[in-house]
Amino acid sequence: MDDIEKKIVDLVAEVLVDVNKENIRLDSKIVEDLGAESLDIYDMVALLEDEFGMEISDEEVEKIRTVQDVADFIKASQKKS
Amino acid sequence: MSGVIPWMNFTGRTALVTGGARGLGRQIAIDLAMCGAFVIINYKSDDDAATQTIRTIVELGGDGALLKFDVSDSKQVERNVNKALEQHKSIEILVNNAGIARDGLVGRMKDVDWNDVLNTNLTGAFNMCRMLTKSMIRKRYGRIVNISSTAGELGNAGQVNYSAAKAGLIGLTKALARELAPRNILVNCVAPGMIAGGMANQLNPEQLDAVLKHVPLGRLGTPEDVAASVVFLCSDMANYITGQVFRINGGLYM
Repeated sequence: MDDIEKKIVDLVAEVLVDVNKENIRLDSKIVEDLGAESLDIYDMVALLEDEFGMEISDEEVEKIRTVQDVADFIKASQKKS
Repeated sequence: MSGVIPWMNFTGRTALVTGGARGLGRQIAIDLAMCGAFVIINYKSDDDAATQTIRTIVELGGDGALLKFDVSDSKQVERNVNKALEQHKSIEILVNNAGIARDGLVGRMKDVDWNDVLNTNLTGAFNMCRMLTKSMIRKRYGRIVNISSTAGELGNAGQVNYSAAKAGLIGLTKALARELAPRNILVNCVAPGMIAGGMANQLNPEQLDAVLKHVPLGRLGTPEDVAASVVFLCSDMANYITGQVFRINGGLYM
């Protein structure tokens, strides 16, 4: 895992307090595997926005399924800026 | 030290009271400060009253700050709440008290009278909740108290706009209570009846008498009567209370 991927896993673990961090893999589906609900998603998006200094639109949030998707999205956004 | 209730200790908590310069808001701010909270007093225009309220709080041994902005303007809300969060790290308690009235018969009510009342009383509360929800969610702790009114449940002739806004606050309270419960954010409503020093001031003695006939306790309420419930709802004594309407009206509406 690179640094960004590690940070994302930390962030997801911080929000999903009932999930063991060891169980958060890059291919974990945030809703189906980790049990995130809509409030958790909102919380994660807010944290990501603060952590990486960016704004994430609703459309972009819709496309994200796995932890890897989050990392890829962040990395792609950073390349653009 | 008998009579001190430990669950009323708000030391370490920051509260924000909208419309806190005068009247009910002022009393709520003072009471929260007396329980140890750092109280940010929002107000729109009355610099003198706001300064006097902060002075009173400090003289009584409390602490707080002033934050002047219009809750109905979402840009002002965003700017000022962000500024407050930078200074105070988190705001755990929000009291949406800012409210105005523009009474009139429905057939003659102008757009501006409808819009202003809805914007300040209802949209203002929404704007504030939207801005503070993130920091409360992060902290997994929040207390929101919205000041509604008997008008919101009973309806007042000549106050279609005010009654609609105050009723709207009840719906907002319940939806927000359900939405934010998973993060330990409790949202309740206080619905005052006729309170001395408030809008009841505009009644002449005959009108006041007519109204008091409908109040079983036979008197106007005081700001202290109402503020006490607000403080209670923000305290650890209310840890299992959310989505409720606390009616402080001397029995005017049951």
